[in-house]
Amino acid sequence: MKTESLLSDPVFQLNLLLWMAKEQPADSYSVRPLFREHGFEIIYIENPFPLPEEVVSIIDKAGLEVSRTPEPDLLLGRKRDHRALYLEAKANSFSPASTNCKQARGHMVAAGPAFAEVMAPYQTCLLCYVLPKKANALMRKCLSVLHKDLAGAELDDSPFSVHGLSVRGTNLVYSWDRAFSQHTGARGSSATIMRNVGDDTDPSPLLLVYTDEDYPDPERRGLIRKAVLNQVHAEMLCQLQTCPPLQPYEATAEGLLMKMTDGVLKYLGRERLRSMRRLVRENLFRRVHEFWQQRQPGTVTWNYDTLKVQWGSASGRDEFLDWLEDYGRTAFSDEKPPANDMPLLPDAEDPVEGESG
Amino acid sequence: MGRTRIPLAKTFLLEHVSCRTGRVPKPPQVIFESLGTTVTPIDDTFMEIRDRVKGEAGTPEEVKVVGYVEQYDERFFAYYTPEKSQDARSRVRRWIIRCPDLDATWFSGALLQILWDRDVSNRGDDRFGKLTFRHESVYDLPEDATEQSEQDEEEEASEEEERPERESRKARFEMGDRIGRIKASLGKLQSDYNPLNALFALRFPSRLGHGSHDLYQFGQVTNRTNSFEDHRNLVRYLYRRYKALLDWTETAAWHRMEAISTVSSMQVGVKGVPLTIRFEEPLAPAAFNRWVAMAFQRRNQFRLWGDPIRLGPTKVHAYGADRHLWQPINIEMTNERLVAILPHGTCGNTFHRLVTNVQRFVCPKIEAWIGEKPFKAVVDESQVEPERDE
Repeated sequence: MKTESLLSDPVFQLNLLLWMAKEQPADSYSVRPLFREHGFEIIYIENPFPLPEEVVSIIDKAGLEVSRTPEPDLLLGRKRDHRALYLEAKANSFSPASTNCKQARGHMVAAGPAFAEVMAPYQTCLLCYVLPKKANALMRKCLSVLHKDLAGAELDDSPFSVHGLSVRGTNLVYSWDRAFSQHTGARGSSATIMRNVGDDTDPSPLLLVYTDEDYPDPERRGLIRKAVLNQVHAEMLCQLQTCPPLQPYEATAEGLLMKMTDGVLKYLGRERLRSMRRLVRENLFRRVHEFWQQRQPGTVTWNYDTLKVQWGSASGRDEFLDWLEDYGRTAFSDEKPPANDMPLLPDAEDPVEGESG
Repeated sequence: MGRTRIPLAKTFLLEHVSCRTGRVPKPPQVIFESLGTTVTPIDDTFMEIRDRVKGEAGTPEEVKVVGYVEQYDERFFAYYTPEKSQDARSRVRRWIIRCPDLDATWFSGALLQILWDRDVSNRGDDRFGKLTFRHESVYDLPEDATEQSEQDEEEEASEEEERPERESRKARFEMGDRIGRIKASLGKLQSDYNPLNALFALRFPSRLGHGSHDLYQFGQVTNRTNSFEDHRNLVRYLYRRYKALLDWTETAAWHRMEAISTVSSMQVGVKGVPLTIRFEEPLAPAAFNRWVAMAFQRRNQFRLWGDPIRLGPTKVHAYGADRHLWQPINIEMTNERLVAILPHGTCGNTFHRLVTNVQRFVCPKIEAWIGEKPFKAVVDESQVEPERDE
């Protein structure tokens, strides 16, 4: 597939940024750890940023569209001088008239003096917009306009930086501006972060964050969903293989997703968690239930978010585990399930929806 | 007149689970009884193991004492046995295959090399040492070659004269000589011929004087001294080094959220680094395809479970599991390297088994890193706790 087409994909962008903050060998990296080289580590992924009360009051009076709940894609921090990076990835630039500007103003305020108040001991932060390089100039222009809007409304914001992703020959290149160099000490204005990206190979590194959305490659729309389902499948199989032979087994979609990500998912957007739970329920739990209802009635019960397995004999357990180990036979679909989030059974409720409020 | 042969003591250093993985460790009595053996405690940490033993020609199987288990801690056990090496290996291997609670300890070629560089090569130039190298590129075969399942060492040894030899890169060497002479030549030989980087066994000359101990990459240590205490000292030393390495691996690699307490707030950081193995020689596309096709089969050496997602002619991702321990692992395989992410709780042993098998069966000369740290630095940095009475 064309690497170019991935440069504007939000999941590819976010995974790339995460790998850029991961320790890796200096000359054998998956993605060059550019942020890590400059001392930055991951603080949060897609976590809502709580603005200080005083700032919210000013926003209320400002007469400007400013998001009160900005959610950066990624926050990175450097302990040695308490500097931070507030990263926001976008598929494309937008104009000062776009509805995206409300969110952008929120990011600019969050990364301003408010950042030190909320994220102490971090003292200064730089807002970085990451998008395909060809859209950088327009993005910079838009952010300059928004900066003036905020200054007029007496809202303090942060300096901003615009970063580009581009393909040069067989290299994937990350570029930045002077603001980033001044804030981080990075020299130059670009670096190759992946090498040998050819059209016959998808450059994606191992995924660290997921979604249930389509992948940009038209031939493999379900690729990210497959990665999620394979991991949940692996987690469930590992739990079943190591639990005492005839002990009943119970799992929830959210529990498996949390275990699979060791809780990272808890810090991701709520909507993303909801849609991934739906994916596990509809594509994995439903299939397990339907198959075993015919084969060994009563073995598997499924109630919305919860799957229970109870075997009547050791041979029944062996048969079940043999099936679950066999990708060919389980054949979990990687199609996106319908968005209808209503309980499948009339008397079943979604306990997590209620709790998440 | 022939001499009476005293059987050599062998120790198998075995790994169970640690409570830091989130699983509840089981006492060795429970594990060994689940394998059908009879366990008789001798004291708090030492127990006798009785198991079925093949009778001499024509006589039926009988149950006999086959060895002793000493519990070093909740995670590591030593199984001491005087059985013949071949019988003992078969027995231990059978136990490990049948029981996901037990694994071998994996002294990869890379780890044995570091033990040679840092330890054995400094035990005196006039002492005798022995290095054994083994590599077989089992995935780099002629197109028409038939697939072969995993074999025991002893099966291999007994069958190799009986069947037609498969064309493949296969290297078996032993260097037994004075340590000074080995030291003088080894570096050049290794740079000239990559399979000489795939160390399979390493001889440790005894600190007491005559004799030695042979360490194999699957955690067997054979006593060739007159002192069992000296042998146990060496096994305990290897156990501490291996345990420290596993602890280091897991602390660095586990992908997890970790609370960071700051002056005024509680934040979380995403921790965990990838594990990387780079092959000195890139794999041919056919060998890569064969490796991917076989590594996830039930009886393959790699013991991986998963459904590889193809991303290109020489790149796959597998979000799967370690089939032996049944713990999740995410892997990127290319013709040039393997990158692994260990979810929190997945045993570091999985990574060291991967390194061992890559060097043995895929590429004999590799470099490995945990995060940005080279494997050699990790081994040096992993602290060895001093021996203490418990």
